[in-house]
Amino acid sequence: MSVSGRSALVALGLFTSIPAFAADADLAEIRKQIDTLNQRRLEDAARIKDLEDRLAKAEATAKAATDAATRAATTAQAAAQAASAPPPAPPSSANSFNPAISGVLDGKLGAFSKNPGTYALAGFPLGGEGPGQRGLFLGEAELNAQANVDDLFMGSLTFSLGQNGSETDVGLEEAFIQTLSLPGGFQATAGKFLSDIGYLNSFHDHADDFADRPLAYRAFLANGLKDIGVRLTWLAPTATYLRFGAEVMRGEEFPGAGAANNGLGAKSAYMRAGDDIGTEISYQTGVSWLWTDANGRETGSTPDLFNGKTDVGIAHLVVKWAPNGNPVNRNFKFQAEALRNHIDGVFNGIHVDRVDYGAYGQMIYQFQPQWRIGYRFDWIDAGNVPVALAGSTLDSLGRTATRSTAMLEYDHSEFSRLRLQYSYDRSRLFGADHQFLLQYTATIGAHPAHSY
Amino acid sequence: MKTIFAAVAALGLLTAGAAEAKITILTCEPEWTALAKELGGDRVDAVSATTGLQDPHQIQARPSLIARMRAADMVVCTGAELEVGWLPVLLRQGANPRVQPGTPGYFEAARVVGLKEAPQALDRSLGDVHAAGNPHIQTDPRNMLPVAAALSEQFTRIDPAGAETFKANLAAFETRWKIAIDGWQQKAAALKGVPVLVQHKSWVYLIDWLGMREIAPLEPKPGIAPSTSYLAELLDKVKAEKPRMILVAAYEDDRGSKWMSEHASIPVATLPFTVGGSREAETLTGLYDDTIKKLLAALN
Repeated sequence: MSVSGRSALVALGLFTSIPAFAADADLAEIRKQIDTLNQRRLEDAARIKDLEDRLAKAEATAKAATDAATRAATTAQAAAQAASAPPPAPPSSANSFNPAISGVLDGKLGAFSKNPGTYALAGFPLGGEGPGQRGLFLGEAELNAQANVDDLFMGSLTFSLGQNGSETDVGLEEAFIQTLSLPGGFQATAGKFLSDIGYLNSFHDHADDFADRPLAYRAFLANGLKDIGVRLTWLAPTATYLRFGAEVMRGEEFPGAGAANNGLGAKSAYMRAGDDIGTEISYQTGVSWLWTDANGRETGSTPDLFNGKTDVGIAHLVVKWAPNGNPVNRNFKFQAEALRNHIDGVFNGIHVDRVDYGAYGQMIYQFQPQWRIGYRFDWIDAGNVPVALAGSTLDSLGRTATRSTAMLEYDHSEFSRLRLQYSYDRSRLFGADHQFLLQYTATIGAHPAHSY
Repeated sequence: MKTIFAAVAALGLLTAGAAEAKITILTCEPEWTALAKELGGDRVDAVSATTGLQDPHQIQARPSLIARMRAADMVVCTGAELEVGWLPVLLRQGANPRVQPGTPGYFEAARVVGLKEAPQALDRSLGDVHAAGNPHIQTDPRNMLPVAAALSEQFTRIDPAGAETFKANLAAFETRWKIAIDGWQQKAAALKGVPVLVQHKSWVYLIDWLGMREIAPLEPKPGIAPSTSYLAELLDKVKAEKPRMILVAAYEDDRGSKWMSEHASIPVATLPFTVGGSREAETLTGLYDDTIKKLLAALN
């Protein structure tokens, strides 16, 4: 605007300054000037047009910017709304169906007054390990993967990895499928699993309250029975917890052996009941029975041979207490099992039919968050042996094996634990053994869920 | 043996179809029991697996809870991994196909609420973090609205005959609840901007709702109890920010907060956290009434 105004004024000024008496030469000069002016006007017009274009462009850009700002604000608002709306479904990818994987790491430091390498339990052939090792050693590391198979089954796979001298032992701890949706409170399990007999048997070692298993478990179940089999349980529709279960297993594992009865060498049946007493106390109790056949079972370094039947009866009681039923700060746990072991068969060529008894009782008290103390008492009484087996592994020489164990535990978080344990062990034929164990246990991966 | 199994099987089948009259609900936390009763009225029968004085992170899968799981038509929980240490065991041992995840009988409240504090990294060195975000949604009453709507809808899926009742109950609840929220906000106006310490990161939704400011948790990492030396260090760090109080849930170990309270000369506000967490918090409304009352008392 101002540009075109000024050029108009200049043009007017020029025209008015032209004298009326101008000569032809002057006229020519004037025409030339007019041409120049016209030229300039054209140039000005072009410049004006250019400026106007630029202005329009700038305005358009400004509008675009405003629009963008408005859009951004709207988006932000939408985002804010989205933030309070449910999260979008996770993107699908090949590994989004990976099972929950968890690992357990376990290491120990042992000190024993008697050489654990020569350990023998008075009156019993050992199907599993003894009390541990001197110095630093590794407990079983475990690797578990589990997930739902489909709408009907879940599956679980657990490897155990142990270091035995310079060798690494890979064991199949569990590999089973279990139904998720059978009606009527039924549940079926198939594969290799920890048997549900007793209380402690269905737990993995690392979930125990002590660094080793009770003597009765060591003597009668090789620290715990796991075998290939099928299990059916039924949970009664009652207000009080009541579960019945039965298992048929291959019979490959101690106290059975050799997959007797055409690979159906072990059977069990059990019943469990439990409830709350008020809000602070809860309990679980149960009775189980296991029947096994051994077909050429060898135990020990100069092997003892056994062919025959073993049946084990177990009664258990677990009582837990916590103020207000809130175990996080303080809690108390009492646990006891009584076992009856009956063997009827041929041991190193001699017929033997006898009954042994074993029991343990333990108390654990968490006196403040992260800290627990515990005490356990163990007892086993071996039955008599025929004269022909005097002095054999089955002969306890009248010894009643006992053991007292105390432990102190520091749980830094739900996932790590440090435990110091002392046992006064009188389970060998002669003398007493002072046993110290320092142990760490750590859980990595998927959050563990604990059974009662 | 065979006859026993046959008898047991017959009994199981007989009892499976029974008890359809009311929706039997097992909730994981008492706030959902209270909400379920508001929305379901006489058509539901709700019991909580935990009380307001128990830490919902760490509950034992007790036999009584397995029995209740077996009988439930519906399970109503917070989700977001709050119950990851015990609910999966109950679901598995309860052997109840009606309440497995993915069925209408399984409800997680956290799914319909936008969760705060979803961790950037999942690493246990950061403590017991929840992958989906902070699960303690019940400390903000506004979160009850979307949960109520979703829960009511789920009731209808299980008990279509009660659709009208559920709809009416939901509408009544929403109206009443919005008025109640306004009332609480007016009462709690003085709490705006108040800097606070917290025992565990349980209060993020409450703090956001009332406009308070969280300075730091007493726990060094979620789920790990603070040592005295850690607390002393923390006190030095937060002194300048002048925290006015320490928020603690009724079920939490109070030694850390007591120490801090004495050394920083600020009060501990022991809040109910959920229904049943204090004598006054016996209802859903009472929960927020009492929470605000206790916060204001600590402020003055």
